[in-house]
Amino acid sequence: MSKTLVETRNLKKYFPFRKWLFRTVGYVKAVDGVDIDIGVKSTHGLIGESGCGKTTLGKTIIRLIEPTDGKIFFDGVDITSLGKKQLRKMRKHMRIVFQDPFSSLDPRMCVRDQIAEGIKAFVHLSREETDEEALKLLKLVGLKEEHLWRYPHELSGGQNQRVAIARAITLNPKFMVLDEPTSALDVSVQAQTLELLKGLQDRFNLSYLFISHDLSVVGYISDEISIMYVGNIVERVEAPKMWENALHPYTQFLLSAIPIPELDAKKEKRMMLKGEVPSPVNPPPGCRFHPRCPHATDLCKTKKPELIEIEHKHLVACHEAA
Amino acid sequence: MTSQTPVSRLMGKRRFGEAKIIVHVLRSDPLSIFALAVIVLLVFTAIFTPIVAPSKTGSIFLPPSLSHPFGTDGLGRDLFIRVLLGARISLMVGILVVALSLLIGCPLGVIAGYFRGTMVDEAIMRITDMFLALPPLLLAIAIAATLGYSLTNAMIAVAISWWPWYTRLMRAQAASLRERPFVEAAKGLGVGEIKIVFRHILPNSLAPIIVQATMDIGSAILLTSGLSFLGLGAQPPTPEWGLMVSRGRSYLGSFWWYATFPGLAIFVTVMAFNLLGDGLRKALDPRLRIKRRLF
Amino acid sequence: MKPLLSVRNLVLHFDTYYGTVKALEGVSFDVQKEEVFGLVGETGCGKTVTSLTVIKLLPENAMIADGEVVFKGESLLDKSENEMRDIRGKEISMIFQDPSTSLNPIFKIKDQLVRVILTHQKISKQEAYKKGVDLLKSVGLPDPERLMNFYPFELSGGMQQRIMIAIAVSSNPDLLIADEPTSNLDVTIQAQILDLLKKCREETKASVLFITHDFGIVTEMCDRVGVMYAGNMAEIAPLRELLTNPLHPYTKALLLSIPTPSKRGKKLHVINGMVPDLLKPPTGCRFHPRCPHTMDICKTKPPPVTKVGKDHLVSCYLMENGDTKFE
Repeated sequence: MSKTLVETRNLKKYFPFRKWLFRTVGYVKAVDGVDIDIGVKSTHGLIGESGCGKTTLGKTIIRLIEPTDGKIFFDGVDITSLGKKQLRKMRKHMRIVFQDPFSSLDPRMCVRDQIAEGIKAFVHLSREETDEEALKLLKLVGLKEEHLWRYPHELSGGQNQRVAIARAITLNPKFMVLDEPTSALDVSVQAQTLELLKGLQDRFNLSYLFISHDLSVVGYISDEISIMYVGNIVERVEAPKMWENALHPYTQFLLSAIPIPELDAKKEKRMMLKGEVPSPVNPPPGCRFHPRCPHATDLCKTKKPELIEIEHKHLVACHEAA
Repeated sequence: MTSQTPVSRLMGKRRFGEAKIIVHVLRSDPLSIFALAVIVLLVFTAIFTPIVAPSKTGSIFLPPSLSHPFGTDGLGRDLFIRVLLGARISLMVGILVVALSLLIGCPLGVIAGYFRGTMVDEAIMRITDMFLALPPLLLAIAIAATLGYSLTNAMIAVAISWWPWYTRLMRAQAASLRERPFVEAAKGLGVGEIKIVFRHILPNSLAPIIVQATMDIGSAILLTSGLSFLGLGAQPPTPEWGLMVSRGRSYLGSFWWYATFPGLAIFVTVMAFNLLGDGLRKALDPRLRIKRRLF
Repeated sequence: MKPLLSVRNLVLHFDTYYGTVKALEGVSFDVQKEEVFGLVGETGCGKTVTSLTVIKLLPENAMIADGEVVFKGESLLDKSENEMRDIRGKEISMIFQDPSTSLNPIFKIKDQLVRVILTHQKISKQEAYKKGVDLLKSVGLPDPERLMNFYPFELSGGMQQRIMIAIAVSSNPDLLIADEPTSNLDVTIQAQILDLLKKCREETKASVLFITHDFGIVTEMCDRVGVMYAGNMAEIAPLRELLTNPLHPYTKALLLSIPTPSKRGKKLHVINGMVPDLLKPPTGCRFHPRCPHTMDICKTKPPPVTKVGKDHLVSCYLMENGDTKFE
């Protein structure tokens, strides 16, 4: 049983929605009460479609975005209201890798400087020492010495993503938020990147929050998976079990919708999910999924379901499933 | 395992891919080449004329001839030499005015943009607005009236009324760059905010500034010669183009060369800087980089 | 049976400041009538430019150095821009990846839809409007009358893409080119759109040239598949044949590197090296630097296309036992 490294309790992030110049007309409830915990040396997958708040959640956990409410615990320490200085010190332990490798690197800095930045923020090394360290990390992610002096526009997407990863593992962090790290990459490059991430996890005992909309990738790499819908976690399950026994209707629709590159994989007719994703400004009352759910009851329309443990390590937020 | 050469010695291998592309694009644009040629010629003239040129004099108001290509002025001075001397003055004026404006405007703009929406931003922008309201002409008169008539004072007047434009430009750049992932990434790495502003945002905001500044050199020259033309800037006997045009204005009907050649010099110079600025804009815009075939 | 579209030995170059990009080097394939042909490959393989060459929507600096494109018996490369304009939207329609940039943001839906219908059909404005409403209904959009008065930005990505599909099939084209039509959409919306495309195809009997990088979509939608790599057509086969018996080393490696839940705990296959720089592509077979079975001959000339079995074409020197050379 691995120790918990990252934990959130009822985490919320509301963005004020200003229609007239200064009047706050409403709130975009991007993250609306999320409990999540990630163990040491484990990968927690976070799945959802666009607008569900998964990216916001990832950034809020490491306080790149300030939470509106709730608590965040890192290695037992409550980091929710840490002051600026202390928060900066924590940054050494929790890093983030973004989706688009090109835009997450400064276009005017060469690779060596990008990696050095991760070091310089906390440790003062001489120029030679920094060069050696940057080279070491570069080799670790599978790039060569000549790449030290290249600029982002001279490298491919996959190579840039490796640079971003090298930058993120400076000073041995414990936790990394990976925000769609392979979505912008080709299939073969994606394979390289995923293997790289797995290798780094083994070597450095890293924990990952792997955010993606691609179920196949998340299913491949995660230990546990949380499914998010309009600001809430609707189901949380161990990865292998998700395909065997998904309980929440939304999860079932998602699983049914992905095209799988295996013949005869889908014998049953696909379930079509009607309607559109609701706006996070005015989510439906009660269970947010009820307008599109084929099993919705009156209770679902009024009372919002809690995330309850149905079986061992399998939590669902659904009245019908309970 | 360490490599043979210490890594730091390989630093010389940094390749400036971006600069190469810019040069390449400029080289293929005929107008930019022309503009660059003119400017290089001007710089050359500016550096060497005071050293090399003889001080020739002849009788007053001689028309253009082989010995006096631009003729002579009201005091018998060779106009060609005077115009060439004026190049040095105008170039210095243009560069200094723009440099001063940049020095004041850019840091303010970048800070305002990064801290957009806060009190810092508000404070800086209100001050900027105040200065924006000052017309260069009136300011020049005011300064001239208090501090005296001189080219230096005219330059100061222009710079004071100009820096707000750079602040605005920088602020817009900084505000949009602030949202970009690599800035967020730097924050995530624990980089301090001041460092982010000056290491990430400032260098990446420079592209439109460079274009604007290049064109502004031309405008600065135009403006200060205009002020000299009105008597508020350079004073005789300085060989400043605007001043020469002013002096020669009354003789346009008869001794036309006195006002025309300095005027042409202003025209060509300003045009060159504008064309260069345009060329730079095209070179720095990645979307315009498709090679166009001429057939 | 004569194919609807026949591409032979297409060579395409781009003139850039960096040099000449040799985007396509001898691409050949057929699209039969009433079939969905999938064009698969990774970034830079040339699948998009191939489709753009077919409808001749290439940028200024593109040069078609060789090859032919024959559609319904006529060469498209010889046609003038005016003649192509008659064909585009009527006989060959295209659906692009990002619907928000394909629809004009300053015109209402009804204006765009009616304009397209009127371009290719000589009917009155009212009739065109009614046809437009019917089209919207047929692509599953609710309340089409109201939708006609919306602007594109007021609609979601899925709805915009449906409208694009409606516009594309409005004139009953013979060939529909779909370039990654669902890449920007969520999984559940993607499922809806794929379903819609299947339905459209059944009703109009059009052929579809389906471009994608996602093998899952290929498995769902396509009858035959062409795998492209760095400007070459590596392998063409019917879907089932390709998935059960891939012959080209690249296809094999690609299929092994796709992560699926069933591969949990196992290592994904990683193809060594990187996609080549098309300014200076490798000599001979463009895959040879990364291929585990490279032979000397692979570095000299591009491999000829070998026909294996009934309908399986491979471009690889390993195919010794090929039946006949492809013509």
